[in-house]
Amino acid sequence: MMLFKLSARNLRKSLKDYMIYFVTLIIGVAVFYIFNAMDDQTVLLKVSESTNSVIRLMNNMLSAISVFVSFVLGFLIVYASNFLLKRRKKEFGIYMILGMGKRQISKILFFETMLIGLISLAVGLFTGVILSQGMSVVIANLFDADMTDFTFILSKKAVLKTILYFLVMYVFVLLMNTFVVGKAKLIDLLNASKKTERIRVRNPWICAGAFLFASVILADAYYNVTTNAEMLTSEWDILFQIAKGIVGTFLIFWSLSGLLLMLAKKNKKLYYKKVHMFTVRELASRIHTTVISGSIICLMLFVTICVLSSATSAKKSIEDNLENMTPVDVNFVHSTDSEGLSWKMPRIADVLDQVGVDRKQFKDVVELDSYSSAELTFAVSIGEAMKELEETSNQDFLDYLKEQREEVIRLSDYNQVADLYRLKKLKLAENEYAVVCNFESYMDIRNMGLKKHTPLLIGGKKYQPRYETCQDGFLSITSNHTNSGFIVVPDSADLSEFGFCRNYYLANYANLIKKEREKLDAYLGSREFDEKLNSNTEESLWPTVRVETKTAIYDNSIGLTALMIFIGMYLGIIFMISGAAILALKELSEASDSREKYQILRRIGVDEKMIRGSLFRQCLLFFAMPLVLAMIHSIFGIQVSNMIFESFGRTGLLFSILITALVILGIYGVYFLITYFCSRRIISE
Amino acid sequence: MSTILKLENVEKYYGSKSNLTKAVDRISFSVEEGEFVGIMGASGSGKTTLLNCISTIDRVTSGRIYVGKQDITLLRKNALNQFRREQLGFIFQDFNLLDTLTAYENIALALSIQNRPVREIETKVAELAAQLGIEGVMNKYSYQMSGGQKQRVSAARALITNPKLVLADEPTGALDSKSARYLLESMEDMNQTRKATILMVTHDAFTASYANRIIFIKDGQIFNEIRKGTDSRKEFFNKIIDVVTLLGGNLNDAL
Repeated sequence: MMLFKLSARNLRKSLKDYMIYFVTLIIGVAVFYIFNAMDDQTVLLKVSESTNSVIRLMNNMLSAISVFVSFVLGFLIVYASNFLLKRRKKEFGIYMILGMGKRQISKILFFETMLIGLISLAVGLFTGVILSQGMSVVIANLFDADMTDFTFILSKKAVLKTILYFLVMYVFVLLMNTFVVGKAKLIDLLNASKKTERIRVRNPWICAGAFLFASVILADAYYNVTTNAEMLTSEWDILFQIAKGIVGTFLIFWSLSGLLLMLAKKNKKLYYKKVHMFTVRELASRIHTTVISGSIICLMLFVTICVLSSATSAKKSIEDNLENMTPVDVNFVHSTDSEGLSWKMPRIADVLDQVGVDRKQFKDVVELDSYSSAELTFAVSIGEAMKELEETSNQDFLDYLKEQREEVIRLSDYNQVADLYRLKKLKLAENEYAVVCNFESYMDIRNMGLKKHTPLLIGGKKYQPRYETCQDGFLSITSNHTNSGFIVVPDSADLSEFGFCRNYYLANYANLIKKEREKLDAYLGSREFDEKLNSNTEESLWPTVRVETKTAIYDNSIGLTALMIFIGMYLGIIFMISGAAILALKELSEASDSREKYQILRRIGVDEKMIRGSLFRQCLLFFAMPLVLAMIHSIFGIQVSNMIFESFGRTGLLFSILITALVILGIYGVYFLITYFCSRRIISE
Repeated sequence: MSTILKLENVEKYYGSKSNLTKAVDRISFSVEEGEFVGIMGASGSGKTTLLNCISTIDRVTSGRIYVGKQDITLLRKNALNQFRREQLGFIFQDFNLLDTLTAYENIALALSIQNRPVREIETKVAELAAQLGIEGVMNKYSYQMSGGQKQRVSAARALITNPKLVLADEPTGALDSKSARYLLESMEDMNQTRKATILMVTHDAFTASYANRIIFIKDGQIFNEIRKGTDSRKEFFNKIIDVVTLLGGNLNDAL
């Protein structure tokens, strides 16, 4: 019992100095609970089937990420406890002199770890449960779910999972602590605080070399993933770039202290002014001892920035796109490759009749056919531009271009669609064609061909491009810009050698009663209807027909948005708070180790203002270092994620970067300020 | 010769009204320019408290302390810091070097906080380092130096600003006898060639024998005062031992 009292008192004492760590732990537990409880919260939502499947995907992903998150939090806990243990060596030494055995010391540690664990778990879970109720509202809003029967939800599964995960982490810490105590020698414990830290300074020239080398491989990796991205063909290539990024980051941190010192010393006027040399030296020694955690924090911040900014950017773009990209309520289209089909295949209108859909329920109907031919492939339509592509693209892509048949439609058909969709109508002369496309990377390739005025040979007649660039447009309603392009030809074109490619059926719902419209919409979007529509395909009565309803696209997009936002938030929060907490711990413990140094400075007559200034600079630069490098990484990382999410468009980029910067500077800044004020209090004690 | 330090009825009390400890009890003395004064007393005699009051690290309860013509008991905050960095030099028992700085930087710091130009810092540090025989360790960190070297670096830091008064608190306390002797000879040399005024607190008779004058303190009051005059150091040392014996053997750890 005595030991327990001792533990409790120790805890209270260190609680004050390391409040920031405990708060981080609590936030960690709470966030972990909130995102794992989402599973149970979303189950109760009354949503459409398509939304439901996205939600399931989201929950699975969140659950998978939780494992990863638990590793990050585990790292934080192990790091922090190791750290707190180191700082208390003398205390343990005194216990041992008083006759306490190592087993008893281990017991004290056991109690302490249990106490920290239980308190943080309890408080964290409590906070998590409260906050997750707010999350319920957010989720319901996001998925347009019915909120009338809102109930207080306590996810037992998430509670148990949180407890289990964190218990495992604490048991691990416990074992490690016991091991450390068991190994320690009494004399080392007692003298731990007296031992002057050995200041190892790396050779500045080696540092400069390493820094240069790191800059070069980072620049190389930056170049390869952005401008030169087309050359990355296999996963290994990409992994290799990532590995270069990691090694580069590590080397930067490894060489930073030596380089900083060398540069600072070069500028003697500044170095030998006020307490600048003290500031630089302290900072250098701190960076010197945080190479690995500094690199890890930097990479975590980098991931956070990229994930958060692409999530918000995607969300914004999706929302902006949806309105324009879904101008009709429903569209049916043959889902085939552009390989030619038999003309005898039933049109979609016939199919709808056969599966018992009353076509009177539709209005504004546009039906059109598209054509394709083995003679007119993507490669053919871009003509000379193919040669340029051959130099920069990989073989798989080139093969694809050579095989892919172009989809061709007639001008009057297209203009009918354009009318319905409120797109720009096209005008073509008798010997002209146009290309309609809105998928950015395909647009770039097609534009290359159009600029060269590539002629097309259709039915023995030469056609010239009317425009030098692709026209914006699409046929199927989608959530984003994924029309890789089709060719519009004059009605007079001779397509007799072309095969039948697809039949499109575009329509709005005719019924005036909203309830009826919704009923039809739900039916068309259901799996039941899909099965009915496509159960005949094996008998080849008609090819697979894809149904897209506006509602389904909305649901899917919203689900996707939610998925990205939640994953971004989950990873972002955990990464940022663990990273910032580690920096804070390091800074605070340095402050309490350096208390004597500041005492010396005061004795030789340094003003309090100068001392605070020095501390502020150390703290600021120490926090800024990983963030600055992470920001530089992000400039390129965001470009990469843009390439990945290209089809979503780029409307929200600036907005998303601003949001991300705000979030990061906000959270990180709070940690920095708390750390600074705490260390200021520590050094003036 | 002018008076550098003058104490008038300095008192320092600790504790509450019911349990009052007079650590320093009405002490008055003065130190002339260029003097090397030792203050001796047993542990708990109040000598360190007295030094702390003079160095403005601690405040007096009553009385006046003049450094030059300035009453330092009236100084506040930044004026105090300015006084400390411009008029005083410190040598501590446990060296108090900043472990992240090299020896050179530790010495230079005392000048750089006064915003002296780099050129001046460089020449002054080099000159003093040569005089104290520590040129060889200028680029070393404190963990790489011996105790004696550290203490001489510490002395250099105290002297580099040409302070009016150098305060030394048990400077040989953590040194072996050879290093102690070397340090004391250096301090003696500084006192003679640089005309540095030194006030040294110690309980060690051998260390004290390097001073020109010794003030003995017992229970917070001045007990005795002896001057070296024309005596050799050996004779002076014997005189000190006599007084220590007179003090009642409380200084049983004197040698």
